[in-house]
Amino acid sequence: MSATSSRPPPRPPLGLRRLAGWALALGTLAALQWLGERLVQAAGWPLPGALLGLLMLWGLLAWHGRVPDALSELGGGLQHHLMLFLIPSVAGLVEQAPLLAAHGPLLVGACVFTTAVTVAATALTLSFGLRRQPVDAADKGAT
Amino acid sequence: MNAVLWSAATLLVYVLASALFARSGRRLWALPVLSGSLAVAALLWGLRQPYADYAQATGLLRALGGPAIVSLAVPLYRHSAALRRVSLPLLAALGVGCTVSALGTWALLSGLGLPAAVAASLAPKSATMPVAMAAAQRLGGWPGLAAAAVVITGLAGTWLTPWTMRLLGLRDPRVAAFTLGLAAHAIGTARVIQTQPGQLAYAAWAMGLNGVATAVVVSVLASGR
Repeated sequence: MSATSSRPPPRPPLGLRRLAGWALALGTLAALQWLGERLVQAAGWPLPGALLGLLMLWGLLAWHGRVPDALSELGGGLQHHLMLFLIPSVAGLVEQAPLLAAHGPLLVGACVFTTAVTVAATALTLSFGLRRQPVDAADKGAT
Repeated sequence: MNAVLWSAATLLVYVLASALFARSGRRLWALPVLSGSLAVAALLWGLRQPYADYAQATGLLRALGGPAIVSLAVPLYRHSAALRRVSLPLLAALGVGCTVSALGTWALLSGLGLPAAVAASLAPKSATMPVAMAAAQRLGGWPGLAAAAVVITGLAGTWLTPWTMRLLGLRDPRVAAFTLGLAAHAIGTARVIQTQPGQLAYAAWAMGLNGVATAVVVSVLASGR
């Protein structure tokens, strides 16, 4: 990826072919998630199916050798609105309102404190590990 | 009908929350996932609607989160070469981060004399929600409390990472992205998509592998008790 690729290339007009490509890409992503779910259920692993689907897609892309345009566009769109898909789950915090009302400060305090330590430990470890590894062109490119 | 209504309401809330976020100059306090969720919670409370009904009605919206996560394989594939070059530092940071967050939280809370179920529920809180809920249950915790801890941790990690990096004098954008993915799962990763999409692969790597690592650590911890 070159640095100029952070600007998206001019896109073809929206036509039936492009829409069909997106539908195929969404179908592929959903099928991989479904397959991942079946697999973790069969194996009894405590992992979400989407995570296994991600690994399978990674393998498929490595085998195929390139990212289809439709998948790249659809994936980028879905990722761009990831926060939208998280809202219904995050709003589930209302379910825990009685618990939070009773022990909120303690729970929030414990989460914030341990998260701060996790953030500092992770960031320091990785900074140390990467101290001789410059940020290369690939890291400055687009997703 | 209910499904259409609640999904449309969530979409509208998201559009407004995103507009607020853009107007605020993309400030952390205006993070759409937080303001949007608070608005939905207020709506549910105001209309006296049970959350379970809302969750069912917005099933399609939540279901799209799965393909969005699967599609993170695209940046991972594109950055495979760069990731492979630094795989040792990444694995070291994963080991330290996962140990500190899962084992550290569990040990600290147990040491403070909190009920074992609370320590078990909070230990996997840096992993994504499905991982954390399953792990908490395995360890003898409550999935509901685990879900709450996951949300609080995702928001806290997203706020704390830039602040901590500044405090420690760290500037590498790869470190910021990785830390957001590891400590703040999908919420942190969504933040990386907004602010530094060039480093998304590092966040996706950290989120995915920390999910796996947390599940493994908790399984070991559970079998050892």
